[in-house]
Amino acid sequence: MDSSVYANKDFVAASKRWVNVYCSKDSMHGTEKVGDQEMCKLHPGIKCEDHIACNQSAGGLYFKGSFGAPATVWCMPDGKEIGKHQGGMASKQVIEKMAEAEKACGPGLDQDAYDFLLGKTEAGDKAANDGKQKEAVEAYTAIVKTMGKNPAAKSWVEKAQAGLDRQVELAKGQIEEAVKLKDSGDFAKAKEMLKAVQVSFKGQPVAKEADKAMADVTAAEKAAKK
Amino acid sequence: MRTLSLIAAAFALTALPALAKGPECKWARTWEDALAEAKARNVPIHVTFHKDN
Repeated sequence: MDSSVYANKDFVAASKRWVNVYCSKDSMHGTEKVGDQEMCKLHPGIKCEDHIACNQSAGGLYFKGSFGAPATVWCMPDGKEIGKHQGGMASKQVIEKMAEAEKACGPGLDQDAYDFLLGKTEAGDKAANDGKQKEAVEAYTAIVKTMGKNPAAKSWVEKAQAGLDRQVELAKGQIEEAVKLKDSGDFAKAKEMLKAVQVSFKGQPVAKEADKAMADVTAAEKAAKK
Repeated sequence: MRTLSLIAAAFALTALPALAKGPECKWARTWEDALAEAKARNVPIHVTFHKDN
């Protein structure tokens, strides 16, 4: 199965819809250097100590005593067994069994969608913490726009929307501050604050509020010069 | 010319098997990672057990 299933292109594509765990207590197959790391020669994406540890953690959960290898188990996200098979399987058989497991789970995120959500959420949160408004808005907006209709991404989209809402509140505060600056005659600073909101929230309702405030500042500036 | 042929043969013996290795499915590093990711994604877990020949 190592070469016939796990490197099969149909299997590789389908496997993005699940989490995969390779368990083996053996390491006689050796290692190979990947970058500066010694990785498993059979599966260079992991180290031999990884599949040995997985074997220790998962082995006793599904089989009592000795069992024939290869063996395959398909289970729910919490690890609860749905079914298992001892002996070799063709890639098509594994894909069919995993498709049954997917039905039992309901809508889920494939690997690419998960990586996208994880990356954008981390980028948005970091930018928000660092006060980088434009980057935060871009990251959260990307999640809402790209994943808004994906039922499996509901909680991620809700979190991104909450992050976006926090940024909008901050922007409204900036607009209020700009209006105060205008009233005190500091037109340059007021424009600078409003420009930041216009750029960060381009195409969003709060940017229109900034446009309107900017027009007021420009008019007040002209009036003051007369 | 002969040197070039020897270099090409050496390359074929060493580099080509590595290049021939196509993409593989992604394996979780630990069982705990697998459970956490499966929960976050709401997807099933495929567990496979093997022994060296």
